[in-house]
Amino acid sequence: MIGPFKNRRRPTPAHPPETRERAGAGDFRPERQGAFEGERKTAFDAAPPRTDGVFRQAIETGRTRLLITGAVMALAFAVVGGRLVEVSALADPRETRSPQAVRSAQVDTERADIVDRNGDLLATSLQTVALSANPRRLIDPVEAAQKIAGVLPELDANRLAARLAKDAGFVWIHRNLTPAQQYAVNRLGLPGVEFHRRETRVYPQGPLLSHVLGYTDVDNNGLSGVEKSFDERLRAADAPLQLSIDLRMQHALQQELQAAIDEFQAIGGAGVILDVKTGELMALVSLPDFDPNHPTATPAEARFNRTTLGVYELGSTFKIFNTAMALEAGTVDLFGGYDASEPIRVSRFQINDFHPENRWLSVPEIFIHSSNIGSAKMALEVGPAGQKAFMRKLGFLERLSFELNETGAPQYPETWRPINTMTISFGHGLAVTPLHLANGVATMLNGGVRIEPTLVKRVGAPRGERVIEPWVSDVIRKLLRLNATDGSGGKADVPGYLVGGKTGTAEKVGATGGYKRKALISSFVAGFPMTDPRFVVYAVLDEPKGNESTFGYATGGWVAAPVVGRVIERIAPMAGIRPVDPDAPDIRQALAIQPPKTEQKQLASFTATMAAAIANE
Amino acid sequence: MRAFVLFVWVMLFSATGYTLFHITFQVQELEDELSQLNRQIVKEQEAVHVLEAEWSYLNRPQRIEQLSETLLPMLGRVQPAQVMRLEDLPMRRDETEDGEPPPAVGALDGVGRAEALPASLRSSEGETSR
Repeated sequence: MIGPFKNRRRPTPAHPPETRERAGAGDFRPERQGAFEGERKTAFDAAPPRTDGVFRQAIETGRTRLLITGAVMALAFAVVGGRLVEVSALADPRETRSPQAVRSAQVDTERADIVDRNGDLLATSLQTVALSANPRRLIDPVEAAQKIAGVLPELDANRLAARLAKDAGFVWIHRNLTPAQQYAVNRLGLPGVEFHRRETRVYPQGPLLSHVLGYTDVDNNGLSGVEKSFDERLRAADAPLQLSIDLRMQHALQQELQAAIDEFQAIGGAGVILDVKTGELMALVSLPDFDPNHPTATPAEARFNRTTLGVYELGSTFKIFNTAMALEAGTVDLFGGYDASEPIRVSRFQINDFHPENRWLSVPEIFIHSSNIGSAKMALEVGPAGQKAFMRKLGFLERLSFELNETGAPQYPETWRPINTMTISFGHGLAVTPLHLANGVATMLNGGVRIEPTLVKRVGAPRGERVIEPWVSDVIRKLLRLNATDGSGGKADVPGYLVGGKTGTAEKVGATGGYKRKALISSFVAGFPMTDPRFVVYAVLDEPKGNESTFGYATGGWVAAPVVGRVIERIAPMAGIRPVDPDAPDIRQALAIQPPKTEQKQLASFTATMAAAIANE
Repeated sequence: MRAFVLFVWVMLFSATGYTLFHITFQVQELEDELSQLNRQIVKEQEAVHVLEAEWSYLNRPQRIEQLSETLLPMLGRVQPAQVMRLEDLPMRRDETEDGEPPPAVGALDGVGRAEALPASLRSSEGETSR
């Protein structure tokens, strides 16, 4: 601002010479001065007449300067004021800050929660703090290591010092600090030590759902179970993933199975509770289990899912399917039967009965006495091709299409000979997962429709594929009920819940091939209530040993049936199933089977079939 | 007159200006408050999230069962015979066989009996004795 006015500070070159000329004029000066004096005296008393013009000039200059300065200042104030109004009052509405309240009711997490069918929390992600160090910025690695190990006792000072002494830019010290630990480390005031906010997957239920949920690695990638198969879904959406599992039923099954494993010194166990109408898995247990919060703390064997990944020859429970197959094919009816008086010999194999009756047995008798001989003859009449087709329809020849990635492929003979047909009829020679079997039984009980099992709560009616006619399913229900009241399944019967079930005891294949007599897979499968089945409960024990309470027996009826009975007693009230009087006439009527004793009915025709089959072999 | 008009204009202008700035500052204050509340909500949500996990941890069926066994030892497992529909329960009769009105629930052997009853029965005593 000063610049432009500079020139005007000096008198303009035109005037001073004029003044000097007048000064030099001598004579005229007093006159003119007096004349001026008289004129100006009133206005400028003290102004020397000689400088009158200069004075006026100076005032003019000052006035101009003041005016310009004022104008410029006013303009500046106007600009500032205008800007002030613009900024504070007329600002762009898009610039307003966070005009909205937080809407979402959930915390944004990297992975969505997993809940059970009732909404109970099974897995969640919590914010935690991790500790790292930048060794290049540490002043003294050894001292830092000692100080950190002092407040975090789980760390070893020497090993930490070795890691911090490395020439690296980044070293993890601890992945998961509690707030108290974070405060303690922060108080040390070490330079080069950094905190990071990260998420840790937490499983509040501990080991209860280990094989269902699976676990994640330190970077929150799903490594097994639901965590792996739904990895993308859990990352993509914030809404919790709702499983079909019922936490309370899972607990009941897990606890009873564990108690049986402890009692009979079994090496493992598997259990399933399946809704027969929707295919929803209410509980899925594999023991031994592990804590998904610390998956590596247990041996890898505990992480093996026996229920969906392990394939076993499951023994006599297959007689359910065998009987249904024969009834469906029409080769025998409920009043027919077979001669089980002598063992069957095929080349070097011999088929015996565990509880030999040594007589002709009707179909219901074959079922409740669990006659291998009768079952083998029943299967042989349907033939290998028919049996294989039936097993395929049941889904026993392929992996289950199921949410978990841990699914086992069944093992079955490549060429399906009559001898295979005979052994498969009582559950040897075809190895499936326990879940296959439970699902097969659900198919038998729900009216004959095969529904794929699911771990996710189902919305809407499930779609299935018909395997057997509804009347066959009805007969199977009656046979299972008969077996629980009069046969090998008595220990699973719970008065009032109309339990029907079948035992299964299979010898395990030894390492050298051939069956081991002492190593058993003992199981029991049951459905209830048999008038209108709702659930299938299946319990398998791996290598149980008999004790005094079972008179040394380790068979399914002794070790697995009580587990199923106790589980049913606990879960039926949860499911809202009301006990009924099993002796009420209408219940008796609905579940009655009259096994007629028409002796030796099909014996002649069967001998011919057997002879032909063995000749083919 | 002219001065008066000028005066009115000046007054109006200052009043408008004052209101404008007053409202603007109020809005800013509210916005500050809102963002502070939003931060607080997020913090509370995180706390609720942690508490939910803890709630679920404390409600493990295993723990509830243990607590029930130690604190309620008289309650065993539910037997099927104990499960009934409400309609199946026999209605309480208005009088006993000798014509006396029935004793009130809990009046059988003093007050202690009433306290031993489940809360649901105690609270609905009026209804059941009707």
